[in-house]
Amino acid sequence: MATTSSTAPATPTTSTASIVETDALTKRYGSSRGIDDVTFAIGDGEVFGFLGPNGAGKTTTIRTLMGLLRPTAGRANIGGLDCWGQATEVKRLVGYLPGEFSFDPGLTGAQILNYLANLRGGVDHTYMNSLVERLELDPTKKFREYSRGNKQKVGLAQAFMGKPRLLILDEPTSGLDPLNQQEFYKLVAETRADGRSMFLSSHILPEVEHTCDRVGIIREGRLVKVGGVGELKDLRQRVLEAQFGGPAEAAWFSGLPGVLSVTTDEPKTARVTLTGDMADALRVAVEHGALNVATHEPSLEDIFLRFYEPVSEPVA
Amino acid sequence: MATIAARPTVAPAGWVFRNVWSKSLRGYRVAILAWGVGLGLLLMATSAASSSISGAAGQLTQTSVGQSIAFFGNPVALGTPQGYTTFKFLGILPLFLGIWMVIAGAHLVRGDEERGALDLVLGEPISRTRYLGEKIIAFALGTTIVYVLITLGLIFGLAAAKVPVDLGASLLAGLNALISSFVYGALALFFSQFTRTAGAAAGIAGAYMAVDFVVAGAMRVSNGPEVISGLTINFYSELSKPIIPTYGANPGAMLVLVVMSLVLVAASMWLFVRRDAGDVAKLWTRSISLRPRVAPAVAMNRAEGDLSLRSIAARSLAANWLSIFWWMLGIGIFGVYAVFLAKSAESIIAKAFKGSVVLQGIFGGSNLATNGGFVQAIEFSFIPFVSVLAAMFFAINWAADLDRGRLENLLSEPQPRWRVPLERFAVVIVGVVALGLVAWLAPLLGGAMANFSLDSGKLAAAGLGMIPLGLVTGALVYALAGKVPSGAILGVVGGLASLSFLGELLQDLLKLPGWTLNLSIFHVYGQPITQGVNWTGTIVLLVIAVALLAISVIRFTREDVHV
Repeated sequence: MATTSSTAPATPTTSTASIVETDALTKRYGSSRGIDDVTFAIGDGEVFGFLGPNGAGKTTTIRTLMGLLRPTAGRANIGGLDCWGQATEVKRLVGYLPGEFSFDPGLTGAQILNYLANLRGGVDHTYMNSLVERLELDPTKKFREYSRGNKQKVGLAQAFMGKPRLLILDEPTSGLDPLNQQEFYKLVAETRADGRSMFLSSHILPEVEHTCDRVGIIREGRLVKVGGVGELKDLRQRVLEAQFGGPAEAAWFSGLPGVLSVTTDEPKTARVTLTGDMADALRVAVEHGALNVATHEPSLEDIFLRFYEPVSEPVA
Repeated sequence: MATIAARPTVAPAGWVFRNVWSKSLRGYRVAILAWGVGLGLLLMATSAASSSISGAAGQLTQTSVGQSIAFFGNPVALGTPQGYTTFKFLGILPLFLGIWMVIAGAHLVRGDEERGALDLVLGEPISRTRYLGEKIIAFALGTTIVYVLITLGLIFGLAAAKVPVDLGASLLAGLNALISSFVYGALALFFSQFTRTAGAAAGIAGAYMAVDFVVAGAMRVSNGPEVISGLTINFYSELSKPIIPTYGANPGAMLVLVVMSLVLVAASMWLFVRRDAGDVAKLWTRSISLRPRVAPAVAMNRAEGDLSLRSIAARSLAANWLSIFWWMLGIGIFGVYAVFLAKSAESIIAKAFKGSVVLQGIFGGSNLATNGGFVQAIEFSFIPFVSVLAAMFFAINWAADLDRGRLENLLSEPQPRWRVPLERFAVVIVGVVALGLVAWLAPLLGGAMANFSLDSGKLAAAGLGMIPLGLVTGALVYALAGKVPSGAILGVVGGLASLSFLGELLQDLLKLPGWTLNLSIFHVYGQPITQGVNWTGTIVLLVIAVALLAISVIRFTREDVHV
């Protein structure tokens, strides 16, 4: 079997299987947790969303992929290249927007974009200029004069301008106004249409729902779920909301088979999350004189929040 | 039954985190100890040894040479241990202490603004006046601790020299040095209201301090008008020599120094409470923008053709050229001036210094009986130190960028990591080479103008010989970058350079073992004009510089990049 030496010029794989592959990727900061045993893959042409609250390990994962952090264990590959050992070659394939875009405050937007384009090489300046126009960025201003949203536009323009095979974007719409968010969604659609891949982290669940093919959910450094957006929504969960004339009691439903949770935050309403057959829950609701019964699929947000319920540990 | 996993609790913060002043004072702790203990020990050693040399040095005041050496300070009662200690150390102490004051003063507010911490602190219910007031209190408390350490050094040193110690006079002597240097710190604070970065404010205030010292010295030598010398801070500092019983302190001069500090602090406060946080103070509002409006397409085209944006090294040089230019200008002017000073004192100096080992010791071993020796004493015992400080400032931006996490974007481009620090180090190389060239050529220009004969080869050895000093300093900053905050690096490297320089300047007095002298880069530099180039030392310095830079690059390529 042929192997590639770390000193030999690296050639990215042209396999259509996966552009990003991590295997038991672990990063620790001394005794502190970073990420632990993270394994996933992103296919060519796929838009992958990465969800998690602050401190869950999203940025650590991204920065490890970018070769900015050295993995403690496991491996991360982009285009078949090792993210740490072949970081320079990896970055030829990647356009990156960091979570906090910071640059020399004395340079104008135009200077920053051209500087980074020169360092990258092979950037189509016509396309770069079109990005500036589309994002309505004023390139004559100095970086220090930009608002947070405009700094984000510079960051987005530099990430997209090289038409990379993979875009890694950390909170890409942070600070953007709704109009520019729409423009960003168009760029995502064009990237997907070109057959290029994206890895984006976000807190904005509807955004992930609309832009991504698959989603990974990270919690306390561990990847707890990876699946298609549709797959996540189709966990055979349903929510049944029943309104009663008097106070509703959780105990009516909690013992039924398939019931995951019951809440009665509003006194006359029971909100039942369940899997499987709904017949028993409907029967109980009718028996207790339900005035109105509604069912719906949980939103991605509901599923997301379920993964973030406090850790429960059995007591010995 | 299930239980919720315990969440980590926030440990109660110590008292230092309860106020702006205590938190700021905490930030000074390393610098206070380094500068206070270092300068205190040097002052103790100088004053302890002063009685052994003061008798011979006293001959100076009996001759017209006294006027010529007044450039370095008024030689009063040089024949006494107190007079000698005042001339040799206390006179220049404000200049060295001023280095820390300038760095600390420039970072007082602008440092927080650069880190983005000011917005957070001012987001709390605290007024700007209180914020800056507490910062100044912390600064004053820090300098007071340095003052105590230095004064203790003076008291113990004089006691060791078997000189009757006047406690009040010693306290006043320390106080005079403190308030003189505090003015430079207040000046840096004032300048920082007009600059975007603390480094720029420190550079301007540092340059002002050097010019102030040179102008005051020139006025003393030439008996220049008090109207001019009265504009310098050093003039008022020199009016008080409290430990000399026959001279004493000048309360009026000390009051002027205090008033200068108060005015600068008040002006800084006035500007700070009125300007935008993160922006510079604008003394007037421009109704019309002086910068012509450029169309976005034109801006993009111009940037595309901009050569300074083609590489990391080119960009770094473009960002630092102004700083390099000002250091070159300062060293160039001083180099020309030193030759004119040498010319004016030529005959007197040659007569008085011929063969006097004691008097050579006062000027760090230089033989002032020759033209080259005098230029060596005036220029090349001082400029190498300036060049080292300049190299430190050229290099510090790398450490500051690592602190601020500004390299994230640069490193996301397909550049090998090792190239980034090496290309950035080009600024240090270009800067120190440029300063070396100016230090060589400026005296030649002065010599041609003043018809004063100087050996170009020896001047080249002295000027270009400074390059390894700058490279070692810059490489040391790079080696510490990422591990130590940039502000602390300035304090540590600046402190090491100052102690190293003072140790070399006072080597005849301190009688330190040879191996300790070799630890001073200025001792390794030696006296190229009068004693030739120390090739072994130069090679050792270059090897150390390469090793430090290699450590920095290897660490940078192997370690995580933090944001």
